[in-house]
Amino acid sequence: MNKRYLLLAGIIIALGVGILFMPAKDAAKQTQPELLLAAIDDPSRFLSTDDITDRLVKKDPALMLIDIRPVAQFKAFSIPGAINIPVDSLLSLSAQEMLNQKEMDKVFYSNADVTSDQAWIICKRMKLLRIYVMQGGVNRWFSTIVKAEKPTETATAKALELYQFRIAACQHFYGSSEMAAIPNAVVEKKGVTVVKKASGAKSGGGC
Amino acid sequence: MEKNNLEELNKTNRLTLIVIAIVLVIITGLITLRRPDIKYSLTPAESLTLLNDPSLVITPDQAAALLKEGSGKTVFIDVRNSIAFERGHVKNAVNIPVRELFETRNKAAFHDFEKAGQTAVLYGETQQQACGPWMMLRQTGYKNVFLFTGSYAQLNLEKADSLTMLLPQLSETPLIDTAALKSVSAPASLAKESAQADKKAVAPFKKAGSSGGGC
Repeated sequence: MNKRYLLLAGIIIALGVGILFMPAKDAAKQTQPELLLAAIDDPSRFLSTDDITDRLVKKDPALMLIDIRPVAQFKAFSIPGAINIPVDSLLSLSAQEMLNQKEMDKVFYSNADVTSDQAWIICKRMKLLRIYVMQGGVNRWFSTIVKAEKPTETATAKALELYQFRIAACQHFYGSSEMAAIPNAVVEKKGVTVVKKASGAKSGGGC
Repeated sequence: MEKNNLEELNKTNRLTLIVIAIVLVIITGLITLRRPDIKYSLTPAESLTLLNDPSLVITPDQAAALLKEGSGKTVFIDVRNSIAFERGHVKNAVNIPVRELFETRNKAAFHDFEKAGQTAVLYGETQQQACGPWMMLRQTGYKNVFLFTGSYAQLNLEKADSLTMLLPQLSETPLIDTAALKSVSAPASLAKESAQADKKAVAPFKKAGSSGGGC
């Protein structure tokens, strides 16, 4: 027997044993931290309440609006057409199956955009595709769509158009202006009232 | 007999070459093997539980107390861009913009804080801005980082008065009066009429102001 055969076989066996003790490679299933940080810095994941409303009114079949608040809050009030995946069960099998539908645009929302963004980061880390966050959450949705602010007389034509779109959308969802009876926001116990934004401030958006 | 010997020699030469080739491949492999310097130390499920842990965040009240105390145990990290930082920031805050978080010197800075027994509190223009970097640091194994659950305006006491009114909009506090919602029942015919009235009210807007136009 040639000694070199033994040497060769020895090297190959050593390599084989080495592979056996390699750490499980789950890196490929996750977004690398540096890339995830770059994605976090990129604001393109944020969609406006008007965008979402427009797609809801048009019944966009590719839109999946996901309410990640607790069940109780979802039942009390939610955006028409949204489904509920509480953030705690985000990683459950059924939720992941739902989020893995590649042809859908998954849009998360919570009360504001902190929790929804956290859910987005975790999903992004798990390499889910086409995920977004509705900026401002249900609080802003309510104050811009349901409680659309009348622009002033001096507002631009664009602002007026946006306002009429919002009014029409609200009527589409709720049938009538019954929502007029509801206050814009709950008065906080601390005594801080939500003051209405100066009209036109939000709707002025040009480019 | 001599021919046989020559064949044997050729064979051994070839074997030697193969052995050398394999060893070379292994060595180059080991040399070019670059271990990622940043790795996740928490699984996604573990990072999800972070979000419900109130001991990992600093509320505005706690932050105010920390600022007053000023013992040097707490370092405020400003994750906004350098322009915003130059314009104004919390006293003694360190500026680490979001995209520069994993640069070598910044990682070293966080290690230094850890060694010195200091805690880092991340704040941004809004809580949402600071939340991403905070999650990244926590997920990659830094344990002395905390998230400020408010916006920069809440730390900046001079400007606080003019901005506090906007703050509830940015936090996760539910603002919709769901009790009032429940009292509203299905649309009645009366409500429809009022809807039309509303529509009429919209109509009389004149286009006087349209000169402001867009772009």
